[in-house]
Amino acid sequence: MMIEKGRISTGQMELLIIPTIISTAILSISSIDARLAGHDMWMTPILGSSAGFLTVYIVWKLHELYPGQTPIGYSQKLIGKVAGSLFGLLLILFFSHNTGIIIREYTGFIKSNVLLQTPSIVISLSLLLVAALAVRGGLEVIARTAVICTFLFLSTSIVLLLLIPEVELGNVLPTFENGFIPVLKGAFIHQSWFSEFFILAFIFPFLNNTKKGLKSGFRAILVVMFILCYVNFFVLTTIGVVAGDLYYPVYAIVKSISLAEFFENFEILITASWVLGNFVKIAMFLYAASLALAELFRINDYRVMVLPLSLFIFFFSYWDISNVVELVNYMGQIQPFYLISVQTVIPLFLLLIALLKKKRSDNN
Amino acid sequence: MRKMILVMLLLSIVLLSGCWDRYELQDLAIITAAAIDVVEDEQIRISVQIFIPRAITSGETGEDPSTGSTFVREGVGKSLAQAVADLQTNIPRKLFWGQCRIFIFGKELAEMGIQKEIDFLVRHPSPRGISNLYVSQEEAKRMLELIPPLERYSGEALRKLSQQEIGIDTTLKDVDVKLAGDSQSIALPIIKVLVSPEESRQGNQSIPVIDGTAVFQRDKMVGALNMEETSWLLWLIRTLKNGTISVMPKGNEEEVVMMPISGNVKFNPHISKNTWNMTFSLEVEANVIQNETLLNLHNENTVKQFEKEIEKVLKENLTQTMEKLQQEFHTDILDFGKRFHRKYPDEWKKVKNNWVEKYPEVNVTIHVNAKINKTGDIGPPAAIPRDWVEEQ
Repeated sequence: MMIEKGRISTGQMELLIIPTIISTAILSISSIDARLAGHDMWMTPILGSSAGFLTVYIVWKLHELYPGQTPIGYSQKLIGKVAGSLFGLLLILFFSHNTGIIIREYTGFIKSNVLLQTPSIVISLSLLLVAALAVRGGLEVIARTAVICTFLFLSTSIVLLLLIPEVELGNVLPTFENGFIPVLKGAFIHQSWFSEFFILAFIFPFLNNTKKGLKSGFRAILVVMFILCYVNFFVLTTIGVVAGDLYYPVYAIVKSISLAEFFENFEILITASWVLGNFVKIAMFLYAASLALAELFRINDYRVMVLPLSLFIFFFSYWDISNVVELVNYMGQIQPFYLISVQTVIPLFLLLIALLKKKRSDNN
Repeated sequence: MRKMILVMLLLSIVLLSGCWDRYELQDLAIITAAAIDVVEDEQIRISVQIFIPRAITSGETGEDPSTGSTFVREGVGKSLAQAVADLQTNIPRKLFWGQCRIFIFGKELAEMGIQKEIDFLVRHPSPRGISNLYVSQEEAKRMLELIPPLERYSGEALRKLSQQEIGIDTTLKDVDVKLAGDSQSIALPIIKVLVSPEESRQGNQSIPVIDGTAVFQRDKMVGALNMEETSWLLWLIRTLKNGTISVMPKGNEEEVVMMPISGNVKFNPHISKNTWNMTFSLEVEANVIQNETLLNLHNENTVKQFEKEIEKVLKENLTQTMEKLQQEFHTDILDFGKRFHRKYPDEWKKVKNNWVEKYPEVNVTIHVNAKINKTGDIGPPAAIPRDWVEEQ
C-alpha cells in the first residue's frame, strides 16, 4: 500500500535530513560536550557519527530487501502481525514524543533569549501549525521548502568565521588529558542525534532514483559531522571549557562577535535562520509520524492524521519536560540510550531477522 | 481550502502585529553605562547612566552643554539583582540593557569580591559578553555623572579610551573564563576622574581616564599597579604599540626616546626536576622619535649600542613587574597556570589545588631582543652645529 504519491530526488533528501539532525544539536550539544569531553570536544562528532553510518546502512539494507515499504510495512512481515503492529505503535509514539521534545527545546530557547514576554504556547503552536501545513502538502512540498530553508539555515553558519580573530588554538590543549574515555562519553551524546538518521526509512521508498540512496545518506552524515565539528571547534577555541556552564554556548559565542565595532548583533540573524532549520526538523518528524499512523491503521490518506497528531505532539511538549535543567539532563542522560535503542538497535534486530529469513528462503 | 486560507489570514493579524515583545523607542530607557558600588550595611547600589534621546535632536537650537545628554539613576538592594529591581521602580520606562557595554565597580566592592555581581551579569540574557569592566578609584557612580566636553556621554568616552590600548582591556567574558579557568586571577583597568586644567570648565565637565591596573586574586582585588607599571605589564601581555621607551646611553646625561612599532611575545613553560620555569621572550622593533643627546645616529655602532640599552631597560622593568605580580600580589594574570596545564597536564594535576602557593615559586627568565628600525628622518641631533655632534 502506497500512501505517499510524491517522489523526491536524493539531493532533496540530503537537504531534508541535514537540518533534521543539526537544528537541535547545535543548540546545546556543545555544552554537554564541554562538560563530558573538555578540551577534546572538537573530535566527538567524528566518533559519534559512526552511529549515523550504522543506522543508515541498516535502514538501507532493509529498504533493499523490502523496496517501496516503510518500517511499518516490513516489520509486520518480519516479526508477525501482532509484534509488527506493536513495533509500529511504538514508532508512532516515539516520533510523537520526540517531536514534542524538539518543540519544547525550540520554545524554551526562543522564550528565554528572543521573545521573553511572548507566551510559549504562541511560539510552539505557530511553528507546529506551519509545519503541519507543509506536511499536509505532502513529501514533495516539505522537500521543496527544505531546499530554501536548509540553504538559508546553513549559510548563516559562515557568521562564525567572524570569530577567527578571537580564536585561541591553545584551548585545544592538552589533548586526551584524562585519557580516551571522556571523548567516548561525548561521542555517546552525539550518537543519539546521529541515530535520528533512522527517519530516512520513511524517505528511501519515495526517492525517484532509489539506487543512490545509501551514498547520499552517507554524504549527509559527513556534512552533519563537519558542521558539528566546526561549531564545537569555535565554541572550544573562543570560550573554552566554560561552555559547559552555558545552556546555549553557540548563541553565546555569536553574541560576542564584534568585528571592527561594526559587525555585531548577529544572534538575531542566527536565531531567525535556526527557526527555519527547526521547521524542517519538525515537519520531517511530523511527516514520519503521520505516515506511520495512517499506514498502521490502513487509512488511505495520511493528511487527515496531521492536525490531530500535531495537537497530540503539542501536549507531549508540555507533559514531559518542565524546565531547561530537566531538558539538559534528559539530553545528557536519557536520550542517548532512548534514541539509539528505538532507532538503531531495534532496526538492527529487524535486519538480522530479515537476513536470516532471506537465507532460509534462498536455501529452499 | 479557501476557508483554511481565511483562517490563516485572520490568525496572522494576531501574530504579525508584534504582540508581546514589541517595544517602541519611547517605552525604553536606554542604559549606556552602569556603576556598581557597595554602600552602608553591605548593600549593593547600582547606578545607571540613561540616554536622553531628546537632547540630541534639539542640537540645532543650541543645547546647554552643562546638562548633558544623559542622567543618572540608582537602585539599592541586598544583592545586585534586588538593586536592579529597585532601580526599575525609579524609572518610568523599561530598562534596556542591550547598549550597555560599560560596567564600573567601586574599589571598595572590588576589594570585597565581585563574583556575585559577575554571576548576575553573566546569567542575565541582556548584558553582552564583550562589555568592558573597570574598577573606579573613587565611588563608581561619580564616573557616570561626568559630562565629557567632546563625547556625548562619559560611557562613550571610556569606551573610546579602552580601544587605544593604554590600559588593560578586560571583558565580562574574560572574567568569567579566567576565574573559572586555571589561573584564577584577573586584572581590570582602574579609572579616575581627569582633573581638567581649564578653569572655565566646571568640575563635572570631565571624563574618566585610565589610571593603572587593579589586580585580583580570585574575585577580590588585592592591589594596584600604577600607570608606569601598567605599561610594563602590557609589554608582558602584548607589545605596547603607542607607548614610549627611553634609554640613557653610557656617559650621557640626556636620553634617547624610542617608540616600539612591532613585536612578538612568547611564553615557554618548562619543568625540569621539580623546578618550574617560565621563559618569556620578547622581540621588539622600535623607531627613534627623539634624540636629546649629541650622538650621531648615522653611526651603526651607536645604534647597536642603543639596542643593547633597550634590552637592558626592558629586562629590568619587566623583571620587576613580574616579581611584583608573583611575590607581592600572588596573582597569575599572565596565565602561567593555563600554559603549564597545556604542556604538562600530569604535573599540573598535582599542583592544581594549591597553585596559589606554587605560583610564586615559578622561576621566570626574561629574554629581550630589540632592533632599531628607523631613526626618524635625520641622523645627527637637529638644530645643532655639525662639529658639536659626538661621532662615538
